Amino acid sequence: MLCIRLSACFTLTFSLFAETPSAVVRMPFPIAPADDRSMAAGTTYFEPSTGTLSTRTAEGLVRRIRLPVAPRSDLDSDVSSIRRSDGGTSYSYTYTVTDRDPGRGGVNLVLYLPGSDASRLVEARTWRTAISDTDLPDSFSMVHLGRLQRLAFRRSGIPQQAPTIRIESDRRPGFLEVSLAGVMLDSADMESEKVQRFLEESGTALRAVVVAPLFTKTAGDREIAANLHYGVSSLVHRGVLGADSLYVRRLLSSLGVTVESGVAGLTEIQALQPVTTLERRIANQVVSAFRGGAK
Amino acid sequence: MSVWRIVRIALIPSAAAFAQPFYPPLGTFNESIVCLDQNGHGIPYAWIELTPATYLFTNAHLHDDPTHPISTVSPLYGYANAQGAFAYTMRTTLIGQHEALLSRCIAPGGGVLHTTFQHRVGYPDLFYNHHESIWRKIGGTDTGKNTGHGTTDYNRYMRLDAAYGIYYSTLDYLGAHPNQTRVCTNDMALPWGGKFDIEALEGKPWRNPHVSHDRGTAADIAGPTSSQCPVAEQVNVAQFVQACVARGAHWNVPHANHAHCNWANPTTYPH
Repeated sequence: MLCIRLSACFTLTFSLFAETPSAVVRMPFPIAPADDRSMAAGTTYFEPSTGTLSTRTAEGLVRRIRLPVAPRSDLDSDVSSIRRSDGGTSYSYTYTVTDRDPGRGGVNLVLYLPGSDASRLVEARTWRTAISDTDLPDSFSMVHLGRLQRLAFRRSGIPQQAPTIRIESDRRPGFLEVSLAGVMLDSADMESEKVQRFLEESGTALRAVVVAPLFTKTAGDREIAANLHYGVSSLVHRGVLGADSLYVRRLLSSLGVTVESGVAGLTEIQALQPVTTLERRIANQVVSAFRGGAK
Repeated sequence: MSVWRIVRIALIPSAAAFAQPFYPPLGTFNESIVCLDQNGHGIPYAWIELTPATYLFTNAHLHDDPTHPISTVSPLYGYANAQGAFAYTMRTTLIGQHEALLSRCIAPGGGVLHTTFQHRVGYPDLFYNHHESIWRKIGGTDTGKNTGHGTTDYNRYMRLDAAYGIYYSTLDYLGAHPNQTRVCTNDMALPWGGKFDIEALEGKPWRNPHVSHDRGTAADIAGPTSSQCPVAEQVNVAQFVQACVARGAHWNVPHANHAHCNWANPTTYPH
């Protein structure tokens, strides 16, 4: 990883596909009945035996579309802190999607980030980028009636190189779950935009926990510790971090103490001994999140 | 059949509206887990095991203890049907929080796949609600006692109708009291709502009182004798409740030291 110009530099990396392929997929559709005539008009069904969505129109026609197979991809998320000339600290967040099987089709990475982050800059040259306002509440920013923005990065073709999305922001790092979905190529009969949104947000998408620009400089230690506790626990649940790691156990314990006491036990956290490369990256992120950047 | 994945099928009202699905508190949801092969086809008769879990310290519950409730799932294991689907029922807890459903799928051929499905219990329609020009923040660890939920910023979330209701009620009240510029607000709801267990650190975690503040439709406005609000910003309780009623609040509880305005009947939401 490049560390030019950076006073501190670290990376959070994990793979969506370890030795055993996996995907987190969730569909708010009932299972299709065996007989098409039993379908309720206007209701979308899922047929697991064929991997298709089906609907029955008011006229009695049944339309089916094949779900795209979830992308077989690795998603790396990195964060680096940047000391600005005015003495402040910014963060550079990078998201790199590497296809293990490019022939499976396009991918669509979706993040929901605080809409009040005026410092955010996005650079995603090889991606079709769509940033839109939403009606979803922002519970990170303490902004009156604040909402989240939806950042969608879509790539249909086969990349010549691992394409990286870069987001620069003044916001401090926290953990966030994102989705990485396949792209629906032929769904004209199925309200394609609606189906695509479904695929991205709750459908056949892979889900991953990444580091993202969430917290303002005034965020409290307890708020940050609670988020870090969630993120580390989530990485343990996903098998990315080892549940029996002494470092992980002590980190979770220290974060818990910070949440409940309201005092960031930075000294204690810094004294913990990460062992693996990923643990060292997590350690750097934890310290950086509390300090608001390297001093 | 060496490449396969697990699908969770759910009927969730708010699932498609968020990056991560929300389940309302105290709800019952019939769902299915499906193991798919590399072609997206269900794997018949796969063995499925489910384990519900919760993340600590989420939704501003900055406290924990061994009685921490977790949503339940039944059955916890069994064989998928001929389509590869394993049906189960999830019953959510009253606590707004981040949870996970850990699954293990064993294909008839012997391959094992672990998958984690994350979800939130709570309401996806609560917004941070503070207008500095007319409201002074009180409560939480800022001016009140530590209830285990951090600063008052963590309990300032409201549904939009109630947020606008309390906003216009305040403007109406201040309009009728030209010598007053602000009022003190407190105790709306936690970020995702659910049980706001203000006695968590007093041996009563995860339970009542404070039922009116579970849905993000209520707020407290400090009146006379409030020790946390400057006298000049305290309200006449009866007159402020009257302002709330004029703006659509109906379920108001009289208190000596604060006006409690609620834009929803507590019997209409779990508490």
